[in-house]
This record gives sequence, structure tokens and C-alpha cells, in this order.
Amino acid sequence: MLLAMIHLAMADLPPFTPTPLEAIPAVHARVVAKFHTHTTRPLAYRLKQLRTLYWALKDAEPALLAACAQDLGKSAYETYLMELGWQLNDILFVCKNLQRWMKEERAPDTSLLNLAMRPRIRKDPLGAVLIIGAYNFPLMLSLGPLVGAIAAGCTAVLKPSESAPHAARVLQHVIEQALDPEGYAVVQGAVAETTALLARKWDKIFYTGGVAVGTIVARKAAETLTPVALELGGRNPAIVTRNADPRLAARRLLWAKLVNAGQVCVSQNYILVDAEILPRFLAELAIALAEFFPDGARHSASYARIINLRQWQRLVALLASTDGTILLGGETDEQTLFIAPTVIQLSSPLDPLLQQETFGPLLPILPVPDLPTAIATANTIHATPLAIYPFGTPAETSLILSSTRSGGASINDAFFHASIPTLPFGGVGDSGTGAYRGRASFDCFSHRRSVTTTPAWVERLLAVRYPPYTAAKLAQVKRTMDARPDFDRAGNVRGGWVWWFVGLGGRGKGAAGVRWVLVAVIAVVVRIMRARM
Amino acid sequence: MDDLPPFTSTPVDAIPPIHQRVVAKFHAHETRTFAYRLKQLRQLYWGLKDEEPALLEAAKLDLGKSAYETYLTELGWELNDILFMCKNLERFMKDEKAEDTSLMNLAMGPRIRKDPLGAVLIIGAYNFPFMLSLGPLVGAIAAGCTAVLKPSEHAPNAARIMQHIITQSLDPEAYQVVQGGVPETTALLDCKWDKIFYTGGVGVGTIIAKKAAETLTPVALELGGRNPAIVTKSADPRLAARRLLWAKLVNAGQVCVSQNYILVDRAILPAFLQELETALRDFQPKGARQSEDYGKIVNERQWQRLKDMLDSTHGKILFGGSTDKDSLFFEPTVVQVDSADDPLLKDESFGPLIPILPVADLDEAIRTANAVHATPLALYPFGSKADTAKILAQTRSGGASINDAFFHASIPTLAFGGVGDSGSGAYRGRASFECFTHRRSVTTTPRWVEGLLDVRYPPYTAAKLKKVKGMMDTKPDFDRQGRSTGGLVWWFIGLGGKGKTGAGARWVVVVALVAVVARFWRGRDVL
Repeated sequence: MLLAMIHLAMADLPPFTPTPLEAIPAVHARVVAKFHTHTTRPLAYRLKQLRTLYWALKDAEPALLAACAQDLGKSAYETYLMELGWQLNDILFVCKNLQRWMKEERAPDTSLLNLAMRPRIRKDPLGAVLIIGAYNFPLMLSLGPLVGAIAAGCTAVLKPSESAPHAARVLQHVIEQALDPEGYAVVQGAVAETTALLARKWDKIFYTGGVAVGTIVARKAAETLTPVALELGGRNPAIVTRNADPRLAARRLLWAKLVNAGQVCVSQNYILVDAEILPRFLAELAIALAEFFPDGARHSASYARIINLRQWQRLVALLASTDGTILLGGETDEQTLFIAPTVIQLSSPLDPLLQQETFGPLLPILPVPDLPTAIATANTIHATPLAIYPFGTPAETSLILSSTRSGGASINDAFFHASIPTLPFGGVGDSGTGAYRGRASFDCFSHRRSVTTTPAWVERLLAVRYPPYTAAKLAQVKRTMDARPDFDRAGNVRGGWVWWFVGLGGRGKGAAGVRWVLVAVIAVVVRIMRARM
Repeated sequence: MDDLPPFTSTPVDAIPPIHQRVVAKFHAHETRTFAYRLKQLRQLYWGLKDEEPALLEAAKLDLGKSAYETYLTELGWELNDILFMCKNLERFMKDEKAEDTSLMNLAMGPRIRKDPLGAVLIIGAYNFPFMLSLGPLVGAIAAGCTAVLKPSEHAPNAARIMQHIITQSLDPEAYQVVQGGVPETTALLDCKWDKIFYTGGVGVGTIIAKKAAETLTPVALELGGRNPAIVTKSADPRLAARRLLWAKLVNAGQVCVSQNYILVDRAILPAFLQELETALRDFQPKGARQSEDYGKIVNERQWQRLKDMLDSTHGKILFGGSTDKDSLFFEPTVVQVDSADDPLLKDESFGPLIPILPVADLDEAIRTANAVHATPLALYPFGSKADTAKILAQTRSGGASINDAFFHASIPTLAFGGVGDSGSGAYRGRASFECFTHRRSVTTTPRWVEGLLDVRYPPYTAAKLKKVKGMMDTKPDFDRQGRSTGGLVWWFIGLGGKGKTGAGARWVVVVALVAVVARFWRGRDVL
């Protein structure tokens, strides 16, 4: 009972209620005004917000676990590992490092000439920002960016996903309890409320979700030249070459589609498998599935459900539209929004399962004759996915990386790169723009402001820049600034005279070394001779 | 210049095939190798170096730029930029180890690969026709991208010579120049690029951003802004006047990063104005019209815009004000305005206008600057350390030069870019490489960790959850009120003292005690 008083339960919270549309401009004005007081900029303010947020989350643990179970059927294990525990650690990590990140950086590669002006990079907050969360990881994808915004000294409005209403309720409560209400607010709602939010001028918009809404956000933001971070999805390929370990590839790729019932933007959308290894890979998939769900997926407490009926229907329709053969799974249940992990063997890259992001527990497999075909197919299906998963030898996986593009990549694994909380995470091209997590979350909401200070005493040295411009001044400028090329018109390296001396006229390091050895030998010989005389 | 064909717009129907060509080249993956990039950069260097006379002549024809300015801010700059890139490219291209990786994740070798973004479009501007076109192009080549450059049609001679050089020096499959104005730019924007780099005004910048957003194409926008200079009462009036005046003489004020207006503390205004006059005589002893160093306005449309702007002010012209339509001459003109609503402060003048608004104190200056434009491209605070630090802490801007005009923008290796509506994305030096590079996070999971990874696989048991908590949870060192609590280790390090001073005092006491004891001990030994 005592615990219940400290620890928040879902029943203590008001039901999910959209924010009245007419209240939204005032919320925006409030956080903008707060930013302009400049009081969110000091380290102490940011730290205080982060620390109180930490304890509010920590104390709301039971409610947060319950909310994710209600919204997505997520097991406590998954919620803790990928949402709550993740986020708590993230906050502590930021608290620990914030002072270091906020420090001015010395500009790199400054020439001697400009050192007197001390070129440096200040980290300024971008301003008042809007964060739009997603339903699949309702806590991490909302709080991760929010922690970055707070760390950077920004003020922020968070709109959690209305598709995970229970998580949204707890988030609102936690944020209202923990954070400065002048600087941080939650707006609840769907399309209408989001539209009202997008009608305001923000200093950055951080959106996680699909390409369609992402494009709407980007277009709206472009009207006012507002920068965006878009965390979208993609038709992410996994490529299993003939030299891959079939057991590890199967276990790891299957796992990626069990987490959150495959509702993970960074999980593979399809698997290209070398035909040679296909039978063994399929056999290993069946073994792994039996191992992970000994009583079947439907009865496993570890396996989540599809977020809502609309998404469930979309997935079922998608599954019905394929021309492939279902090898494993295929069971669905509308009542519980259950879809079993389903392995489908396809015969064509044009299959509907490869034309869109499935965002569910489907594992379409397309056999390919060789690695070049796999690479060409992956580039054709989606040239800039969020991630890519090559399985094979170092030579093969490095060929895959250097012939493709993607937001990130895990070699010989499924989305491991996305499970390191400090590693920048983001897409490329139409799978997203901007990265966050770890230090990148701070950078995402910071402006790197280049600053110099010109002292009074350099005025004499600066005389060269002032008119009247004379031939002497031009000559002086050329003398002080011009660097010399060390290559000729054909692009071949041609060392300078210093290098000639250093290398004793030898071409390349080997020749120079030989000459030096020769000189040393001669010197020793001369010395010995002289000693004898 | 006479050897070159006249400025000719690229036929609009030729544009999609050009786009196709550089996209296809990118997908051949050949532009990714270090050797390929280096070869292009080196050839571009000599291409430019060997055309020095034509480049100087073109800038003279287009903008009346003196050879000195063209060399310093365009040609010499770009040559050095290429050499800098050649020298450092291998280092920039290397994988970076990811920072702050916990022990647990080190086995997966998290790292950042530097991948090229793809086929990119670069749209140049007329005011620095070489630097603002070639700077981004060098970045694109360095990053392993292929590119199409559209130089500004308002500097047609510079556009001609650049087309010649690029055609001569670079791989034609990968690098192309498209010439033209609005229809050609529109045709280019209809193609899908992997990044669009645009330098110019907010109006066109917004069109580009909207068009790019339709296909989720990232953009770098180098726009302008109503950049304030703030001269506090603690400033050196002579230095402030010389340095700010200089900024408006370079390229006849057609510099996006020069100050758009100056807020001057009333206490220092007379001294500042007097120094401005002195500096003007210093820099242009025979007057601006007779000065060979002083450029012209790029074209009649811009000249007329500036003239209208000057005519519309409610302020008082203190110096200058003379203009000549035939030679597109526009004298450096100092105008004292009496309100932040004056037309000279409402728009970016992009010319040799120097509006001065007197303010009562520093707070008013900061308030005014934030109200005129909250996110300008640059900011120039003049004054004591405390004053300038306060200005930086209470404003935003792309960059800033303290006690100078755009010095930060004259360091070729310092990242340059705007914030908010003055631009997004930065370039120059290493940043040019980064601007066209995707930082791709990569891990490799070895076979032997599979046993350790067991914890991530279902079925999820209570034991697994406990193990995960044990592995990942860190403990806070602060309480619910946000106060630091410190851990056991810190208690020992600090000997239980609160804060650094307390700990320091305790350590001093301990050291003194040890010293006394040691001396006593040794003394007894001797006895």
C-alpha cells in the first residue's frame, strides 16, 4: 500500500483526452516565451529538469509497464529493456556528460595565422521545438528526443502518439509533474491537433513515424525554413550470403521480428538469401522459432500484439496479397490482434511484401543466385533504407556496405547498431534525416555556432585586408596564404624540397629508407676508418 | 575570356539526361574510392590555377571586383581549399570509433562509416561566383558524390569560365554544369537528388526547401539574414568603425554575412561616427567613385532595389548617398535611423548601406536585435568581454565575430552556415566533406558473443529481466529534488567533504598530518 502511494498506477490518471485545438497556440507561445527568457540555457536548469524527469519516470515504473502492456501487449521484459530502463540510463548518461558537451570546442584544422582569433564552436540551443512521438516504442521515441531537447537548452512541446493512448497518458502525467511547465508541455491528439501544432513556427520539428506523414511534416516545415529531424522507416534488407553462418543468421533475424511483434522501423523488411544456403537457413529458422516460443507464439507471454485493428487488417491484407509460399506461421486472430511470426518464400522482387514496409512480424525471403544479384536487388527495392544487415565473410559484408547506402548497418546481426544507446541513430535520404541518441541527441537540438574574437592588437596585421589594395598587399596576401600543391597536372605526387631532403631524393618511403641506411652505413664505415688511423 | 563561347542556357530537355548520367555514375560506386576523389580534386586545382587570368577577368566583368578581392576571397581561397582537402581527405574518410561506447558493447566495434550521400545538385550565387559554387563542389567530390553545378546566371562570365574548367578537368560522367535561370533551375529541381545545396536568398531558398521536402531530399541552405552589429559603450570606437566599414566595402556590401545594421550605444555614437568618417577617408582617399578597389552592383535590378530602399528610409544620410545607374555605382552610405521599423532594417540590404540605430543600453540592443531577426546568419558584438559574452548568450545566429566584422567567415576551415531561417547545414574545411557525407553507424556482431546475447532471446523469464537490469542499470547520483548525492567512491575521494573545497580542505589536513607524523618518526630514528 505504501508502494502504491509512491508509485503511480494507471487508475490514478485521467483518461486520454485530446488537447482543445484553441489551447494549442497558447501552449506554443508559452514555450517560445520561456526560451526567450534565456533561463533554459544554464547547465543548472537543464540538469534540474533531467534529474526530476529521471525520478518521475522511475517512480512511475508500474504505470509505464502497465501502459505498454495495454497498448501493445508488450512484456515487462521488453518494456524495461527497450523503453523504461533504456530511457532511465539515457538520462543518467546525459546528466553525466552534459557539462562536457556544452563546452565550447576549439575549431579543428585552424592555421597558425588564424589562431589569434581563437576560432571555436559554441553550442547554442536551437529554440522552442516540437517533438512528435510514435506508438511502437511510445516511451523511448518520445522521451529520447525530449531528453536531447532539454539537454541542449531548448524548450519543447511533446505530442505522443494517440495510437498508444495509455502510454500517452502516463507521459503527460510524468512530464507535467517533473518538468518546468513554462518550458515543457504535452499536447494530446491526432491529425487535427498535429495540424494545429504544425501551423505554429518552431525552431525544429522532430518526427518519428512513416514516410507519408513525414513528408507532410517536411513540407509544412519547409514553408518557414524550419529544420526537421525525421526518423522514418524503410524497406531494410538483410542479405545472407552463401558463406554466412545459417544458424546465427536465422536466430538473429528471427529475433528482430519477434521484438514488439515486428513493429520496429529498423528491423529487416525482407531477407535476400543465397539459394545455396537457403535450405539450411530455413531449417535453422524453424529450430529457432521452436526454441524462442516452445508453446507457440500465441501462448507466449513474451510476444506482443499488433497496435490496433487498422494495422492488424493492413497486415492481414498484405499477407493475403503475396504470391509467395507461407513456410512458417501464418496464424492470425482478430480478437487479440495476434499475428504469428510468418516466414514466406517469395519468387519475385516485385512481390507486394517487398514494395512496402510491413512493420509487422512478416519475414519474406527472396532467394538470389549470388551476391551481386543481392546487392542489385537491394538497391532497386530501396536505395536509401534505414538499415541493412549483411551476413557473411568480412570480404562479402564489406562489399555490401561499399555498394549500398543505409542509415546504419549491423554486420552479422539484426539491428544491433540500433540497440547501442550511445550510437547515433538515423536514416539517410527518404528513410530519414538527422540522427540522435547519446551525444547526438544533444547535437540534434544544438546549433554549432562558429565564433571568433579579434583582439585589438592584431589591427596592424589586419592592415593588409583594408583598401586601398596595392600590388604589395596582393603579394603579401599570396605569400601568407598560398599553399603549394604536392602533385602535378596529371595528379601525380611531386614532393617539395623539404621532402626531397628528408627522403634524400628517393621516391617514396622505401627508397628514402634505403638511402638513409646507406648514409648511416657510410658514416659508420668512415668513423671506423678514422678511428683506425 | 574571348576564347570561350558566350553564356548559353542549357536546353531544358537536356537536363533530365544530365541528371540520369550523374546518378548512374554514382551507382557504379567508382566515385567512392579515395584515388578517384583525389584525382578529381587535383585536376580541378590545376584547371583553376591555369585559368587565373580568365577568372580574374570574369569577376571584374561581372562585379567590377578588383584582382585583389577576387584572389583573396575567391580564387586563392578555393585553391587553398582544394589543397587542404587533398591533404586531409584520407583522414576524413576513415571510419571513426563511436564515442562513449560502454564496455558491454565494445565487442561489436561500433563505428561511423563515411558514405557519400549520392548525386547532388549545387546552386551557386552571383556575389562570390567562384567560392560559393566551387566550395560546395569540392565538398561533394571529397565526399565521393557525383554532382551537377548550376552557377548563378547573374554572373554570366564567371559561369562561362567555370563551365569550361569543370568540363576540362573533371570526369564528365560524374560532374556537369547546367547553365540558366528560373526554367532551368525548375527543371533541375524536378529531378530527384540526394542533396541540394543552395546559396542565395530566403525567397528562392523556401521554394527549394518545399520542392525538396516533397521527396524528402535533404538540403543545405546558405541564406542571408538581417545581421546585427552591436557596438556597446565599452567598445573601441575606432576599431569598431574601421572593421564594420570594411565589411561593407568588400564586394560593395554584396556579402550575405556582412552586418545589415549597427546598433550603437548612444554614449559612444559621436565617437563612432567620427571614426567611421576617418576610416572612410583612409580606405578610399579619392572617394569611392574613383577607387579601383570598390566593386559595382551586380545588375540594374539590384541597383534599383537598393536605390528604392535608400529612398524609402526615414533616417538621415550622414555620409555617401551618391549613385550612378549607368556604371551601377553605389556609394557606401551611412544612414542614421531612428526606429527598428525603418525599411532599412526590415530587409536584407545586400549592398553598401550602413544603417545605424542608436540605443539606450545593452539590453535594448539585445531586445532590438532579437525582434528584428531572431536567427540571423551572423552577429557582431563589440565591447568588453562581459558585454560580448552577454550578447552571445542572449541571441542566436549562424556564427559570430567578436570585436570584428565577419572574421569568422574569413577562416577557410571554420564551419560556416546559418541557423533557423538564415540557413541550415554548414560547410568549409572538414564541414564541406561532412556536408555531403552520411555518417553511417555500423556494428559487427562476432560469432562468439552469441552465448552472451542469449539474454535477448525469448522466452523472457524473470531471471533474464533481472540479469538485464544487473547489466545495464546505472545508479543516479542525485536525489528527487535534483541535488547531487555522490557515490561511495566520491565519498572516499572527497574524504566525506561536501563539494570540491570541502574535499580539498580535508586532503590538506591529511597531508599535513602525514607530514608531521613522518617528520616525527624520522626524527626519532636519528635520535
